Amino acid sequence: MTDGMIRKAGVFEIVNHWAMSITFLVLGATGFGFLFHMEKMNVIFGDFNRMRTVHNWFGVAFSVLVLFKIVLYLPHVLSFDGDDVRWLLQGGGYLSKNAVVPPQGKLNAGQKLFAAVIIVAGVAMAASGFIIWLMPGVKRWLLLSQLAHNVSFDLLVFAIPIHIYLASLASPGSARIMLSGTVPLAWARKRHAKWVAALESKAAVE
Amino acid sequence: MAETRRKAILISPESCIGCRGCQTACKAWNQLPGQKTGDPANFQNPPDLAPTAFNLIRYIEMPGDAGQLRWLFVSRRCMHCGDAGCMKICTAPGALSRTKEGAVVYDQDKCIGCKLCSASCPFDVPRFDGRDKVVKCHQCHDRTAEGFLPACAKTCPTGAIRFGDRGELIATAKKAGYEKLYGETDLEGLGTLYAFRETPKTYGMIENPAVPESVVFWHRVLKPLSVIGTGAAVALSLIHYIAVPPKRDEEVKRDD
Amino acid sequence: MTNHWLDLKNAKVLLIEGSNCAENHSMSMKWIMKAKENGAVIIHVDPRFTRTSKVADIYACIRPGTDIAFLNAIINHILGNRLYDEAFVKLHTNALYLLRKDFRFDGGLFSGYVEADLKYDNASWGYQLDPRTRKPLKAQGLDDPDCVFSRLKDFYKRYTFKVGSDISGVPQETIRKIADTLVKNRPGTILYALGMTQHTTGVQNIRSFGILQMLLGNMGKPGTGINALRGEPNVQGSTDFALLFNVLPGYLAYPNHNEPTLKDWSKGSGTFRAKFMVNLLKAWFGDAAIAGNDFGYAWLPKKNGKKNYSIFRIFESALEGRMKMLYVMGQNPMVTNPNLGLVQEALGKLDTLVVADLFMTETAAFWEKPGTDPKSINTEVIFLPAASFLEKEGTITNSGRLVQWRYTMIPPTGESKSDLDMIDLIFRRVRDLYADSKAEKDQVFKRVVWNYPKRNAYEAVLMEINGTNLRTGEPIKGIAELQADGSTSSGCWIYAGVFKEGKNLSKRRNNKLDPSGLGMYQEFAWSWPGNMKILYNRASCDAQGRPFDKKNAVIWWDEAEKKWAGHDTPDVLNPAEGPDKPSGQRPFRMTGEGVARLIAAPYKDPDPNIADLFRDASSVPADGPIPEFYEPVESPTGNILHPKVAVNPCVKYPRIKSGQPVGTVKDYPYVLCTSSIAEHWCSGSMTRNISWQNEMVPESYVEISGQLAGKLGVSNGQRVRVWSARGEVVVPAMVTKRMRTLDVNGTEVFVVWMPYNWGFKGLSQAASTNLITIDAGDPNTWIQETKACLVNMAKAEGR
Repeated sequence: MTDGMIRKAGVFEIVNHWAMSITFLVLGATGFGFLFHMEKMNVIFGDFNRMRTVHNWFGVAFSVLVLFKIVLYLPHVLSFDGDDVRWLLQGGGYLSKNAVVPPQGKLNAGQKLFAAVIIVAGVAMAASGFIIWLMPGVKRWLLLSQLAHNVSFDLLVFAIPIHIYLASLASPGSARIMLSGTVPLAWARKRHAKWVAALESKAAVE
Repeated sequence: MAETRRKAILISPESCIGCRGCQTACKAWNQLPGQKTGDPANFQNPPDLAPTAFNLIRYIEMPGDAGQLRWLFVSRRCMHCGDAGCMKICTAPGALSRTKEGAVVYDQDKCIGCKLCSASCPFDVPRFDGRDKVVKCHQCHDRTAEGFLPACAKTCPTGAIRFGDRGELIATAKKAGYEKLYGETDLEGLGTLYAFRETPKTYGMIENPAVPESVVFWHRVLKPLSVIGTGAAVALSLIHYIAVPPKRDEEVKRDD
Repeated sequence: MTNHWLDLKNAKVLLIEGSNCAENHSMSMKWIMKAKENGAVIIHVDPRFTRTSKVADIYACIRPGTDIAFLNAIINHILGNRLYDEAFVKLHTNALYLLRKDFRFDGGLFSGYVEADLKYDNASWGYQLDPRTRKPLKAQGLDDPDCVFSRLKDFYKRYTFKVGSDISGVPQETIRKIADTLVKNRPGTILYALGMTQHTTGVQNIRSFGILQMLLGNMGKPGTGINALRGEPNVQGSTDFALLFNVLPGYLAYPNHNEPTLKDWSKGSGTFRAKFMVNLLKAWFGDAAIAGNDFGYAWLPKKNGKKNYSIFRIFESALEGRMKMLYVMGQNPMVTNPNLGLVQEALGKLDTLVVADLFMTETAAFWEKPGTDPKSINTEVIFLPAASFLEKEGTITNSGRLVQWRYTMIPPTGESKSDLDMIDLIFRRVRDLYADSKAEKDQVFKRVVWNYPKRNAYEAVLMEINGTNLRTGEPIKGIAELQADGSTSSGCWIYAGVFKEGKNLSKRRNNKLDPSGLGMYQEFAWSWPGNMKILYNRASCDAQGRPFDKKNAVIWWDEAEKKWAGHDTPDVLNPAEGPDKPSGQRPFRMTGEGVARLIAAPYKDPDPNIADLFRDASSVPADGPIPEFYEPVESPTGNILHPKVAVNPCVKYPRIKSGQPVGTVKDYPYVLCTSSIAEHWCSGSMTRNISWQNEMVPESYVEISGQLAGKLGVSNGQRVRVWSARGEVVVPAMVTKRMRTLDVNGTEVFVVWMPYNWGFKGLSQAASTNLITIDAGDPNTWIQETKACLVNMAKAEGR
């Protein structure tokens, strides 16, 4: 906690984040391409067959990243508590200039929610994607997968722009978490009071 | 689709003699190899549609009147639905398309082999070749475009398979005493019509065929929602940014 | 066919018996279904419920080989209840002709039976003749006890519905229903194929059809007739051109050793046919044929009149070591001949075997048959690759006698040649080899005119067949132009006119012109004789030449124009001779009597011009003038009509004791019927080499009923052993509801069925069914009884 800075994200977490962003962009873009028969995409991929190959293999990468995501964020998601509920009810304080929100852990309730969406939609995406790709024989499964893939798609293409906004413009200073991984202590104390408190008490014990 | 131009195949099982000339003609025109079939003890061979079998006669044995035997022969192939589940779900532009005669045709170069069409087809028609590309009856569009009959219709000795103007075929069948044709209105009208004397089930066809509900839901809701969702997310962010501009914290300022 | 394919659509009832036309003549169904659409009733009589039965309104399951019992019960019903067309019967048949008083039928035998020879002396079957005119005497009415009609009625009395049903297994009610349907719906037609002919009573089976149709007045009119659905695209054409050993082109009798001169021949065949013989000889020998040398008649090789040269005797002669060489074209007897074991043994006795075919057939490779040691066979085999139908041109004649030209689509593959080219090359070479011979027997090679041009050889042959008016040099216009004095030639008199005015009429393709709407299409190709579509069409009119059915009139006497006119070529000798002339009252002019014959009495029509010769003779079946039911040679039951004469008394079988064992019901309890299927054709030498066909039917099989399967402990698809007194095969069982258990003479009879299309060559190989079939033959045609023999069956072990 030197210089009043505090490490909020590790290198692995940052790399995972950006890797996932890239796969998401590629998968999302090609996904839209398949969905709306965007032949313009051929400028990039040549044809839909190659686009499918790219989509599938980025899907593999995405699936691995989702696994990491689970390891990294599932404990946070599971720590959802009463403060988180109240935080969410207040809109995380984003709805007015002078809102006072309940104290938050390392991840605030919104971030937990987003992590949950990524995990659930990501797992659904990956699982359904693999079924469509590798096990198209059973029609019922194929149909279910197609549905799951698209529900997840809709969820992600809605959630991710919001995530980008909230993590950048809406919350100045947040973006650096995924760049340097550190945030000012005061910034952290204000937004993640419980986490900083826990860290400090732990440090005190030691 | 302009009904006046739409062509169709009318299958009349009552006139079918099960000679399977249609199966051979289809293979001859489409240059499909014969496959090894194992079971000489069954009449229906190959047992089902295959990448090398675009049509086949289904043989159905059942008890008839007064202890007599009843034997039904029903030609099975792509139905060329007006509202085609395969085309609806297809992810590759141009892989499945509709000719001006109304046939649902495929372009193997454009097919990406996702096989979703097979799940979306109410009639279990699309098959995939060794390269995982879609294959199925294409109503001999390469013949019909030149004014020739589809190979099966050309070969059929009894008129059990007829090709022609869809409206006219329906009118002829009605004149022959068929009240309603199978496929007359189902799925915005099928391109393969059946003149059945009894329930479709008797002839091994599903009643009230429909594109799977999940596909319809996806097509009507999920697909537009993806664009709306993305748009809404961006719009909401923008509105929020204007309505509630972010406040810069002291700590951050100092750090800057 | 008396009528033609398209004419099937004009029928109100179609009796399909002994034919599985949906499978084996699928194209016939185009017209049959049109008839059905117009309300016609389809009756199918067959031992097996087939794809034809599927479209039938009435299906009758019959025991193989009992058609006469079934048909005779119908005929008896019609005779006994006066349901016949009396006007037609009186006018157009020999019903009123008086039969000789010594004509008898007793205990299964007609009068004149010579037991030692297994033959009839048919003199007693004849008419009472006017001693002066040599014409038959006629009765006043149908009730004259000596007239044909009365004798016929008397003969048929035994065939009650019960007798018909007991023998055939068809329930009495079904026979009655079929009889009533035939009576109520006219015009009616009959379709048959090998299911009727491949019996030891094959000819009499068809005679039953003839009698039935005559009684119903179903002949010569649209939608009537007796229509043989022929098994190969050009089998009609090949029969017209002497496929059989006993005829020359145009069904002229083949000269025998005891007919050294043309006059001797004419004594047997009549002056009417002698004229056509002269034309044939002129076509063959050209200028060398003159009246002074009997038009070269002497050059023709003569056959031994006492010998039988049918396909069975070919192999039996080889077995006896009296056949050196066999040349097989377009046939695969190592699959299609019955009692195949004998065939293979016979082929191995030949010095040389030549086979011309598209593929290496079982016949060409008989020495490769599994279990054979090729070293033990000394036959030299020469294989000639033949061109397929797409690789050659020429005519084919379909069942309806329609002669159609076909064009070459692609050049012959590799070294293959068309049949005509092969024969041409061989003939020229043989002629060269005999060039120096002085022997009288070799003169035929030197005298025959054989120099067809390299180009258009095919049309040159057709031109020779058509014939030439040698006075004018013009092509013959029709049969009427042919002369007996050598001033005309025609290679096949019934084809005279196919090249009318130098135009190849078989090339015509007008499929629009059909003013009658009856499907005549007079300008589509050309039918023999004289572009006639419906044979005996004179019978469609009454004595005055007025059509019985005005609506469906085909021909009529046009009083104003003083000629026979209509939508078809009138079947009269001279179109200008009206009903008032004798020739205007001969609706069945190819018989001596000029009328149809309910009883086939021997009769020679006197020639008014030549006292010691007759004009034409009526042919008489060897085995009786009226069809009598006899059990097949191998039968599951006794003959309830005459137990002592159970089988056709004119059938000689076995002909060679060692190779032709006969099984009994004790050892072989099941009846085997065999035939072809839609997917494979004849010996399968073509279809079994097409993977598309093999996909649909990959292998031979035996179709059995569920009851029999239960009895044998066999389920669908399991392999079974099927064996007869002659051989054994192992095939999968197809257990179906389409085969039934029959009630025959009070006992249960199981019928099983097998396709015969397999052999040990080709892409699809399986045991040949004909290893177990019987080679007993009809005494008239020597066709084998492959539709009925006895077998035993058991589950194959270890499978």
